Amino acid sequence: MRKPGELIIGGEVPDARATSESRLQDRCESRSGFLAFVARSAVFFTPLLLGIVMIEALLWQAGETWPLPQVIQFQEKHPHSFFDRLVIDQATQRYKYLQVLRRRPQILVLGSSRMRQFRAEMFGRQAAVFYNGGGMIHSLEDLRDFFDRLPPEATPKTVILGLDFWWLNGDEKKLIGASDFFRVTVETDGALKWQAHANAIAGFLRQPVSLLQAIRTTFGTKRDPNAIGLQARLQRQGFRLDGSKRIDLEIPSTPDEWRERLPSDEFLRREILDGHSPFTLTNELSPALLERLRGVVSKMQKRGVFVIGYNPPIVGQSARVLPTAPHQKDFWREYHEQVPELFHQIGLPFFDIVTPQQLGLDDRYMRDWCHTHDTFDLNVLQHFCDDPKIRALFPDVPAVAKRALSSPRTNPLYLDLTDQ
Amino acid sequence: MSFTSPVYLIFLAIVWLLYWQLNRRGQNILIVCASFTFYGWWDWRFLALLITTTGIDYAVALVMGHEQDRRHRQRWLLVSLVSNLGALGFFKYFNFFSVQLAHLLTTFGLNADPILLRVILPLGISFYTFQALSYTIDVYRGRMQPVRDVVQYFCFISFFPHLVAGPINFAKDLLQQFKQERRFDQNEAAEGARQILFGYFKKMVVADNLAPLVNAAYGNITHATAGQLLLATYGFAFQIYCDFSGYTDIAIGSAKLFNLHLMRNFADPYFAQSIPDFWRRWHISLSTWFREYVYISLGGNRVGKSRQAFNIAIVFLLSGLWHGANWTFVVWGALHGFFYLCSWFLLPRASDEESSGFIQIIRILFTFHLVCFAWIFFRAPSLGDAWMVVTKISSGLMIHLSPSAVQIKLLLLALAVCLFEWISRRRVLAFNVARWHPFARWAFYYGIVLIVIAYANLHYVPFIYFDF
Repeated sequence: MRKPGELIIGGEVPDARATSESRLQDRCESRSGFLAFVARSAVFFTPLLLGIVMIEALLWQAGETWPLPQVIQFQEKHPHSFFDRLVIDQATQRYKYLQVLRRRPQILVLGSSRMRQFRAEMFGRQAAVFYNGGGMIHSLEDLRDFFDRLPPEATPKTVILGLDFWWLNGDEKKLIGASDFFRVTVETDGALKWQAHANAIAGFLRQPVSLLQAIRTTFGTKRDPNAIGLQARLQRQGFRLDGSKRIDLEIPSTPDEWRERLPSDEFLRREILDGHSPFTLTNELSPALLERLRGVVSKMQKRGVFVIGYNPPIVGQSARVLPTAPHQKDFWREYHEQVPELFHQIGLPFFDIVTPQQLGLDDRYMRDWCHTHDTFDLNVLQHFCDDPKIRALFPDVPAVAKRALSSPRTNPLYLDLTDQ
Repeated sequence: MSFTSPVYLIFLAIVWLLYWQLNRRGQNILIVCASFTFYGWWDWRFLALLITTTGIDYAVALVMGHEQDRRHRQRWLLVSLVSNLGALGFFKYFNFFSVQLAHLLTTFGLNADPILLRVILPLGISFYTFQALSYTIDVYRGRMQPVRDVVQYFCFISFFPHLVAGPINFAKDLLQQFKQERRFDQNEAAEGARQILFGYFKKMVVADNLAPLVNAAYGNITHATAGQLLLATYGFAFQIYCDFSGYTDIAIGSAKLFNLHLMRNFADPYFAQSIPDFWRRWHISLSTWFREYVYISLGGNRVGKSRQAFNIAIVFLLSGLWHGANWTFVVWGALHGFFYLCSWFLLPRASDEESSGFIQIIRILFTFHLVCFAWIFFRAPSLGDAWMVVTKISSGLMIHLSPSAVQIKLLLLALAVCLFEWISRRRVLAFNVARWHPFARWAFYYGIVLIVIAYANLHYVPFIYFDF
């Protein structure tokens, strides 16, 4: 067998010129093939990339992909603007946390979405030092993590803390699983994550109708220049500069329409008896969670925060079923006994407003079975001010409430705060 | 840098564009730099380990190439084995064996706390150590000459498409390619791009969307119903196949863009008609490695039947252990070994083509269910959990399955992949897309690209074989 490089006598001698020419030809063919392939790939991918660029431009134009610091700056320049994303992420935790750091409010509302309707104007001259962090905290762990993270210089003087009753239901906790929602979401701004952008594009591909809607609300004639984000543009709702939520609701004109807004009594009864979240069946208020609440509130108190505890109401029908439901009644009773008692022991006020009826109002003041709206929340603040200590903290609230609640333009959902 | 992140696509495009501007030497240098960047992207410390252990193999092979004395060559081979398997053992198995030793001592009445190391498993260590070992063993056996060019050597070891999860390539196949001149081939590149696209479809659309269904049941075995566990087990069979074969498709397709050829890793494994047939079709590169370097070293087919059976059992146990430091993997390997031996002893030697279509389908279904049974042990967190899954499924088979609409859609998707493979089982491609009218071809590609974008599960789901 011939070894490499071995000369064979009498063998055919390769033509060196022909070999190098064929190599050169090979190289040229390879080069032209490569360029043709690149060109074909470019033609193939151009429409796809153009589509992506156009969707990104749409999202930017709608304010959906603005980074949160940019949203905040825009809102500061345009105080009537409101912000709500739809397809990128909700961003509530990070958005509100950044606002708290920037504004360093002295009066801070904390809690779930049930606390979002307290507004700066309700506090009169203190409006500038108020911020509503409602929607940012969904558990006792979230509350602890928020205060652990908050720098001392941003510590508020007063916190109105909405304590959803299910935060103390140990079985509800087991069902939900890990409670690091605030800790995780406060770190992320979807606008800066490629996965969020890809998800948005994927969503439009799956539902092209939503893309058309987004185009219409972003470029259409009825677009609102104050709306930042697709949800804000589509639903005309979003967070105002003070953290409260602007929600566009139609005002019912007849008693039947008022009733139909809320879920039926039978539906609520079934939800409670079947133990659907947040009415997860349980037989007691979790002692461990009660201790956790004591720990968190004491910690806040040690940092010089005056905490006003508040149990936001639910509609009358639910409140009637819960005290008799077999696997709810003990928990429900213990919540109303032990949580106010805990606050009392620490020396802090707690307002246990089970239903709107307790303030002489009715279910029309509820947006749904568990969310109150602007008018109710001013009534609650007025009720808080029956306590002289709180009246001293919020000196303008009684006068604001008197004016706004007596205005003919005020209704069970919306307040007339134009004079504030 | 994961194959499923957009960073990889950008990285691949840049490396590919640069690669075809360079001569052979330049291409090899670029591949080494790109591969080190790719690997170091996860953690640069992994890179140091990779260079150290495989660098030892490079030097050992060079010395063995000069050495004529067999005993001296053996000693040098031992150095390579100790450094590779030592690193693998230290990072992957130390804690496992330490805990087992402590348990053993406790059963003998000696109270011992296990010594546990706080180390993370370097990505792809099981793959690149095996690849490096194949090189030193081949040089030791005289099957190939050691390579002098360190760039070519590191191209072979660290070529980024196969680096973290294979296919495990043999030096005689892949190393040779880095020595040769490479010309751009349009057909190869188009084929590579197609394979990448199908790989993304399998991984991001099928496997990643099956993952939540499987995780929900296997993450809560105590509360999951028999029906949920059964669906999850079938789901896992398709998840792991689409995950791993999807990864392999992306790897092989990426390599083809550079006109380099990696080893085939799958050949329609769920259409295997027996367990030995399954192992000729599943993770081919690993089974070939074990056959070449363990089974043959133990005597292969040259020994008596009982010794041969023993060797097969050893190979399967080692293969199980290779997948992870957990008894579940050992039992998975043992089960496959048992099924293999049963098939080897009991099944007639008739070739697949000889049996009738009906018999073939029965054999395929039977084999598939044996494989699924073994997957239970592979997927369950512990042996106790695996046993609970088995008892729940076997005791509750009459319970209605009641899959949700989403689950039905996912299983239909998996069946669509099966159908695709069934059509392509006797040819290279199911549909010879390259021969279609350009308009139809591009529409087909666009369809797949849009499906991948629209239905990909974008919550980061790491490739299952990254754990091994």
